[in-house]
Amino acid sequence: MGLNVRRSDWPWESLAAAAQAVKSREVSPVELVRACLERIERIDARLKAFRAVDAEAALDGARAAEADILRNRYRGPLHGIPIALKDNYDTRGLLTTNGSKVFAGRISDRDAGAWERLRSAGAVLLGKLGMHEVAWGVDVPPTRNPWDLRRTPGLSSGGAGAAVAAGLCFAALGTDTGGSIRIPAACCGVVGLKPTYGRVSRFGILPHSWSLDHAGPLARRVEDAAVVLGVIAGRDARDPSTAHVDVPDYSAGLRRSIAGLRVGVPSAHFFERITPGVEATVRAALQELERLGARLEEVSVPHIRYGLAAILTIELASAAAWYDRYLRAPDLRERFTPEVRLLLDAGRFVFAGDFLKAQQLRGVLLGELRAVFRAVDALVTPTMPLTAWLVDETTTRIGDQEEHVLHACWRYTYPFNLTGLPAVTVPCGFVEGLPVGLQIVGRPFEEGTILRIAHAYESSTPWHRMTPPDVASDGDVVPGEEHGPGQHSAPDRRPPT
Amino acid sequence: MEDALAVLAVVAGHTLPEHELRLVGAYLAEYWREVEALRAVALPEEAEPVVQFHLERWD
Repeated sequence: MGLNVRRSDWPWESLAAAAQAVKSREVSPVELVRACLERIERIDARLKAFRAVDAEAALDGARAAEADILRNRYRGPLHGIPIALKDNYDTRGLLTTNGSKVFAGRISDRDAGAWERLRSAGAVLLGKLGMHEVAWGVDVPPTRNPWDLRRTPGLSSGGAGAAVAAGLCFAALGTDTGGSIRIPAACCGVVGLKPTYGRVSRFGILPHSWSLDHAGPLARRVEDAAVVLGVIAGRDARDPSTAHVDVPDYSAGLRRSIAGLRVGVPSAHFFERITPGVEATVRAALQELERLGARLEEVSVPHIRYGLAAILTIELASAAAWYDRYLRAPDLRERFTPEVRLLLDAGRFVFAGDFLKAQQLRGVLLGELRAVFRAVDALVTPTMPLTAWLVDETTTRIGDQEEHVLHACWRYTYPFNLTGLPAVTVPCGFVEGLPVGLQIVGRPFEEGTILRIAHAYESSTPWHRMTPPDVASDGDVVPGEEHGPGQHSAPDRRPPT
Repeated sequence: MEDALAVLAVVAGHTLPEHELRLVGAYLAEYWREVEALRAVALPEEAEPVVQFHLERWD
């Protein structure tokens, strides 16, 4: 296959553009994989996004994809595309450690359902991505934010956010129990999609909280997230929560105008206790949506203020139940970090009455949101009230109130884990050089609508074209390096600081 | 708090070393403060807990 684009530029391409180039044989999957591996080799010693890289298997997979395509057996837009998975997705023959020493050396004999679908579509696995221990955001994993190495990449899918933002892979799969796809995506300036509960199989993903866990993609473009969702969505008999709901062509509707769409803005809760810079950035994004023809309406979800107690209750109890066998085995129990062990122990003291009331609240919230969605087609909120925090920062002051960063960061995301509604975050600007995310929420199984709004916003703004300063293997930050991928994209720019 | 937790721990069959019990107690005190708001709110009487589990046809 020919090659018209420098290899070092390919990792900055969108997945959709790379797929088109693979399909037209402009580039070989082998070249794409080599480009990603070279970049991983060059910068990941500092970024630490990957927990394991299987270069040999990735190159074998790429060669097989190339051979298929040359025999006219092109399978679709993920064929030959290098991707990566959070380390809680089971992958046959490759380490899956769930970010914990408890699972050290664990090699599964099965593939997670979502990865199985990606693999069948021809995607090439580069490796497994760093994550918080058992997807609980209390410890500080080594992964850093490519926009500022002193800062966190976000919650438990942080490796995925960092890898996608730094051009180490074309897309990644993460999991989201209270915001762990959307928060790292927002912190790292990429797109993160938490689909509807039941839209994507959780089979083969090590659980955290059965009824809160969601699987979904992180990517550099909305269109790329739509392509990945189209492949991984659908019923899987091995996950009883997955629904018998048809999977539409998410890419097909992306370019439809959003003129006339009704967008709800829930000011209470979602614009409270927010840093001024983030609020101003998100309000500017709302104006842009209005300029694009969306009709903004103030809406209210009164019981949302009780959501934190509900999600804590469900999360603590569910995780304690699943990890009980590990807590009871003395040799394994000691391998948890003290912080995670504490939370798992605490989960055993959740009262059944509180648990049921939390589940009762979920029903109330669903009812209120259902009523809201009779009047609007989507909700728009900030993804987080703050930007990426320093790795050793445990508390933050927003207004006159000091709180734990982990309590602050998921305030706007966890309501949609409680209710299972689909939500996507898209970059909407920068505050002091750090990315800000805009969250768009839809009705159940209407991912197409929120992706369409996100795509319209992305297309009319420059944020997705901005790339983080390069992180050289010797640790030097190289600002302003051009990552322009030639004919496919506009020149990249650094953000304003 | 620790005494109450020690009793609860025995009832729950989950004995912990004292220092760990203290940490769990401190965390739970924080968590229960948050839960108090949920306990105090009067949700609509007809609101049923969501049980997100469903069965398909068996044939």
